[in-house]
Amino acid sequence: MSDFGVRIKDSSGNILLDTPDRITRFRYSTEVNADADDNVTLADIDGYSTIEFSIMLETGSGKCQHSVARSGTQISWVHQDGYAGIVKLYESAKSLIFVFMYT
Amino acid sequence: MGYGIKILNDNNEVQVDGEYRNFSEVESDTNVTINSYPELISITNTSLVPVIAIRPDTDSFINLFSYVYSSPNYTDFNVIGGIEGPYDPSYGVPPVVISTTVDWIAYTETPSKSTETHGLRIYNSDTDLVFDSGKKYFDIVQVDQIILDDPTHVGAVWNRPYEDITHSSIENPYYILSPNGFWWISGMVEPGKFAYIIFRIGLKQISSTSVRVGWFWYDGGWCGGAASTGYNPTCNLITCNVR
Repeated sequence: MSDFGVRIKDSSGNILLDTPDRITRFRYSTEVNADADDNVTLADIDGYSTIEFSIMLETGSGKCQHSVARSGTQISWVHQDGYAGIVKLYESAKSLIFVFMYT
Repeated sequence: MGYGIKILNDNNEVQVDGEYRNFSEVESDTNVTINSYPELISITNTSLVPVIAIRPDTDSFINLFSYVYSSPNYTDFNVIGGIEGPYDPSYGVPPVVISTTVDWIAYTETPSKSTETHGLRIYNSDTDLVFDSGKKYFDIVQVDQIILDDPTHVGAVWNRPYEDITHSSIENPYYILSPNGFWWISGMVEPGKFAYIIFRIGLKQISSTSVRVGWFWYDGGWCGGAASTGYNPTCNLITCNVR
């Protein structure tokens, strides 16, 4: 039995949230242009596990979303494009960046 | 924090947090057919940024490709599926998408309170609803980093690398896979004529407690020369609980 936490039941007695459960918290999102590389510092994520990822806001066979990485409390994103010779094979898309805290 | 509550469990994990607005389920659907190129799936228009998690079927790879935003709302999302292959444009027909299905859930910041009359509801100092025990919350239970080898085509052998991920603590979860890769292989199929195939990275369910992350054939056509190159990132597979 857990010593800490909260157990929440609905009107029928079903457990909606139990003591071992945890809820993922939304920390940050931003929309970034296709060719944008940038970063943001989120001081309050220090000590917490986060997941940071991107979703494209454009569709096309050769489109790629930004890569997103965390270093300390800094979240950075980098656009992606690539060539074969002088021919552009894939190119960066406008993207949504997300950061969630899950511990 | 002037308002709200923060509750920690035995593992010192934040169980409920009144400071950050949590994402809760606003819409879902199951057994949605994927047989277009890509498949456009509509959601109820929302000005709130959504997070959409998917559950693939066992028969073919898919991945969530993009959201559609038409100011001021998010209106749709695109899911891509694999094509029959190896695709050869010499046949004179466009690539054929392998028909499969997807289940999906959309989450946003909690826009309104539930109808539940028992439980716990927390607001922040801006009177935004940050937690409501009557809602189904976006809940990450596992994150795996996936590093796949590059796809190859040697002789008649196509190599599409994959990795199987097990999540024994949860059955039939939903997933987010990001970022996606892009790989291009082209070669001469007739004298002076070159064809290409594009690979993407997707998900295919193996069992209720495992999923395959792998490269799949996504597109093809004619091109001007031979190459094997692309973008092969470290992918995050985010496994999500469904409360």
